[in-house]
Amino acid sequence: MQQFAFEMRDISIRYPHFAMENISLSLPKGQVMGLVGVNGAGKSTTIRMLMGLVKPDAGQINVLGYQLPAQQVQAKYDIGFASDDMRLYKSQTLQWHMDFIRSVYPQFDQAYAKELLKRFELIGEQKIKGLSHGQRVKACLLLVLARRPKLLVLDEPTTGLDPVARDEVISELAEILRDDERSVLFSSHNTHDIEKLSDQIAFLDRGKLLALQDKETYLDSWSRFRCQLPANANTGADAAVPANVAGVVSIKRHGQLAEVITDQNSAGFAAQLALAGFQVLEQHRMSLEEIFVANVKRSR
Amino acid sequence: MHTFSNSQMIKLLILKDWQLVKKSLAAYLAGGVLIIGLMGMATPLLFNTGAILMITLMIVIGARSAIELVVNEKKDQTLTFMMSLPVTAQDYAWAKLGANLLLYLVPWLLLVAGMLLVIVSSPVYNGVIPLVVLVSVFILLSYCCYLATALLTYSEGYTTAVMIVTNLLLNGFIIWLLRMPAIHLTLEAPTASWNSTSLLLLAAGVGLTVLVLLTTAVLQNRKTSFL
Amino acid sequence: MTYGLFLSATDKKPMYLQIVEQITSKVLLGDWPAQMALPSIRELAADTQVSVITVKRAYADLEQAGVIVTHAGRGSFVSAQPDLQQQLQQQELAQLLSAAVAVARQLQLSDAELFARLQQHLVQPR
Repeated sequence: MQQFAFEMRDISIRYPHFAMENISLSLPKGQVMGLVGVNGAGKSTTIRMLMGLVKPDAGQINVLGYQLPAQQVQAKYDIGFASDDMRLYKSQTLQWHMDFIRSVYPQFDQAYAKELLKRFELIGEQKIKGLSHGQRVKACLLLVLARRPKLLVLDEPTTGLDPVARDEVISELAEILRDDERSVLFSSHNTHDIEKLSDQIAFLDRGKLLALQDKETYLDSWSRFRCQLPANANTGADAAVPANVAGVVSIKRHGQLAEVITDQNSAGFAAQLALAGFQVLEQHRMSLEEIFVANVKRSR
Repeated sequence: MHTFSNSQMIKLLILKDWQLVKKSLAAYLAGGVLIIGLMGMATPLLFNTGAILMITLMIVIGARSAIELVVNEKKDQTLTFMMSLPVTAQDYAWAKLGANLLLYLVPWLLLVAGMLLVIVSSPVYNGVIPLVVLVSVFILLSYCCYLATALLTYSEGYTTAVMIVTNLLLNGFIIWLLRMPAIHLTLEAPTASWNSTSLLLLAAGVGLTVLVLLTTAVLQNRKTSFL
Repeated sequence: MTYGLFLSATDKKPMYLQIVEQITSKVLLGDWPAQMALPSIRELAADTQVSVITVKRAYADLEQAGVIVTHAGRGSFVSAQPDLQQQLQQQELAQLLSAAVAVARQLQLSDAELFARLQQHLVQPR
C-alpha cells in the first residue's frame, strides 16, 4: 500500500537553456493536483519525467509504487497520459485506435468507451484526419479515460477547446472524483479549470516550485486589501511600504489609496496594516489567476 | 534493464505498423507482379524497362517505409502517443527496427524471388542473374543505411540526404558493374555464372548490410530518450 | 443524480461558502429534513464538478455550525436538533446585523444615528 500516487524527490534536470533544481513534488492517492505555470515553466518536463520519458540528472521518482524510469513499463499500465502535443494516426479511424489500445490494455472498458463516444459526440468510424482540434483532443482523452487508469496525467487537456467541448471534458474529469483510488495530475494555463477541480496546487516558474499546497489553504492565504492612507502621508515612491508588516507581496499606491496583496493573510495581517497607518476599506479573496500573476511577478 | 519481458508489446507495435502500411504495400506488390510480367516478355526493351521500374519500386517501398514508419512518427507527433504506452525507449526502438525490416525484407525477398523465377522460366538469358542479385542487394544495403539514419536521428533532412546519396551511388554502382568484364561478359550466357568477383561483391554487400543493422541496434539501445 | 446545488464561478463568494450557504438554506426550507443522509463528499464533488477538498471544507464548516452531523464510517446527516431551523435563522440575523454595522461604520454613522435608522425600519409597515 503506497500512500502517494507519485512522489518526486530532490529532482534536478539540466538542459542547455533550462534547468530544474531540487524539485520535490508528491501527490497523495485519490487527490487531484493542478500544475500551474506559464509556458516554459517546467510543467511538461515534470510530466515527462513522471512518464519515464525523460530521466532526471539527480533525484528519485516513484509512481504508483514503481521506480522511474526503470520500471516505467509496469507503471505505464496504470497511468493514463494525454497531452496537447499528442497526435493519433491520421490515416486510421478512432475505432482502429480503440481496438489497438484494447489490445495493449486488458482493462479497457468497451462499454464505457462507447458511452464516451456518445458524450463527446465522436464517431468511431471517422478517420482522424477529418477531426477538428477539439475532436482530436476528446478522442485522445477517450482512449485514456476508457481504461480507468489509477493515475491520470494530462498536459494541457483543455487548451484550444471551445467552451462546450471544455465543459464535456471537465464533466468527465469530475466523474473520476467519485473514486478515491484514482488520482489526477493536470497542467493548464487555464487557472479556472485548476481552481475548480484540484485539491492540490503546484506552482512552477522558470524551473522552480514556487508553491505546493492544498488549494483551500492556498487560496485563503492570499488576499487583496484596498486601503486608505492618512492625508499627510509621505507620497514618495517607497514611502508606502510598511516595513514592519510581514507578508506583503505587493503594494500599488495612487494618491491616498493603496492596494496591498499578501500571501500570509490572517486577522493579524489586517491589524498590522492598520498599525502601519493603512486603514482597510475592503478585503477581497483573490482568484487563482490573480494569485498566479502576483506570484510570478514577485519571483522574477 | 528491466526484467519485465516486453516482447508482447514489441509484437503489438510491429503489428500496428503492419496495419498502417498494409494497403500501400499490397498496391506496391501488385505493381511488382506487373513489372515482373513485363520482364518475363523477354524482349530486351521490355526487360530493361521492367528492370528500371523494378529498381524504382524497390527504392520507393524502402523510402516510404523509412519515412512513414519512422520519421513521420516524430513529425506527426504520434511518437508521444506511442511512448505513453507501456514501453521503454528501447522496446520501441526494437519494434521499429523489427517492423521496418519485416515490412521491407519480405516484399524485397518476394520481388527478388519473383524476378529470378521469371528469368529462369522464360527465354531471358539466365546470365543476368548475378547482376540482378547484386543490384538488389545494393538497394537493400542502401535501404538499411537510410533506415539507420532515420532510426538514430528521426530527422527528415538527414534521412532524405542519405536517400539521395545512396540513389546516386546506385547509378554509379550499376555502371561500374556493367563495365566489369567479370559481369558483362557472362550477361548473355544461358546459365548464371557466378565467379570470384561477383561472389566477393555479394559477400561484401550482405556483410555490410548485416554490419549496418548491428551497429544500428547497438547505437539505438544506448539511447535513453526520444522526446 | 443531482443534488440541486447551483454553484457559480462568477459569484464573488468562494465555492465552499456557496456550498455551505446553499445546503444551509435547503435545511432551513425543510427541503432536506432532519436526519437525511447527505451525499458523500466525493459524490457531491463529482456532481458539482468541484474539488473534493472544497466539499470537505464545506462539510466541516456545516458541521461546526451544527447544520450537519458526521458519524465516522456512516457519512453525514442533517442535524436532528429540534431547534435547528430557529438556530440557523438566529445566526442569519446575527450575520445581517453585523454586516449592517460594518456598512454603518464605513458611512461613519454614530451609534445613535444607526439606532434611529433601525427604528425607522421597525415602524415601517412591511
